[in-house]
Amino acid sequence: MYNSVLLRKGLRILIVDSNLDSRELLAIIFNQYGVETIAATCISESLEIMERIQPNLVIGEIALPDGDGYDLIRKVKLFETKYKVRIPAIALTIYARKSDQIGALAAGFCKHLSKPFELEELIATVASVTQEAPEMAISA
Amino acid sequence: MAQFIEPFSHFVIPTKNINQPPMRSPRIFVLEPDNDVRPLLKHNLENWGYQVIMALDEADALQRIREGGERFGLILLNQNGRSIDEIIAIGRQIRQSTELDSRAPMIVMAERYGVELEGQNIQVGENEYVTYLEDGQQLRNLLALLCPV
Repeated sequence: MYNSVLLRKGLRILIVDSNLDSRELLAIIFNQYGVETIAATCISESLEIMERIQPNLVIGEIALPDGDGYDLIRKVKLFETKYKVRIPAIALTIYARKSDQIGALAAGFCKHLSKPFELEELIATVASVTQEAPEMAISA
Repeated sequence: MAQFIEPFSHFVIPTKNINQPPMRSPRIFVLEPDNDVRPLLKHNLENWGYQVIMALDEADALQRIREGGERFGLILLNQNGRSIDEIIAIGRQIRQSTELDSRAPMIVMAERYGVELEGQNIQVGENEYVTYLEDGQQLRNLLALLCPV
């Protein structure tokens, strides 16, 4: 386990991925950190889960069987508006081009990670989006 | 290969946009050709407190400006397959089409870059910036800096 102190206690992550291996791998990883995970295979299932168990974070594929990541983030945003909560979302996806990344970030995902992912990067990313954002700078 | 415009040796980051009327949400002009991203980006920007004018492409952008005659405080452009030079030239054309906002800052969201550039915002001309997004908050922070709500 890497950097176990980084992840917030009581974190509840909704994983949205149609691939069984991905869902299981993420569940195993986060369970090692003591983080609760709930898995959904598609957008409609993720919505049902969100209504029942409000997650602190969504980790979603862009490629989904009943839509795509843009549909997913749209639903997450609607959920946020409806319940006046903030649920950050990370795209963890096979769509690895830079344009995919920019599209995902512009659409509202906090972060974009491509598969296969680095465990340390995933954990660091989850830690960062569930905490306050760092300051930014402009350079010449 | 895309060439950056010669960087300025020094520059000033405006803390507020002098073109915006007081007590009114800043208006951003956005050129976003991607049909999936466009409505979500608009939604995000509106949630961040901006009024948004969306354009599909260069021609649509210029037509909207001609027809609307509205002021805006910032131009946001997705690189979307063009070189940085090309997209900045388009942004300048948009900016020059509206006399009232000739100093409106321009941000290009770059789409091809290595990890060494991730997370950086680089000024490439007067009031012209290229952002190499690492996360969504970076865009929000840069907008807040250049075009405060």
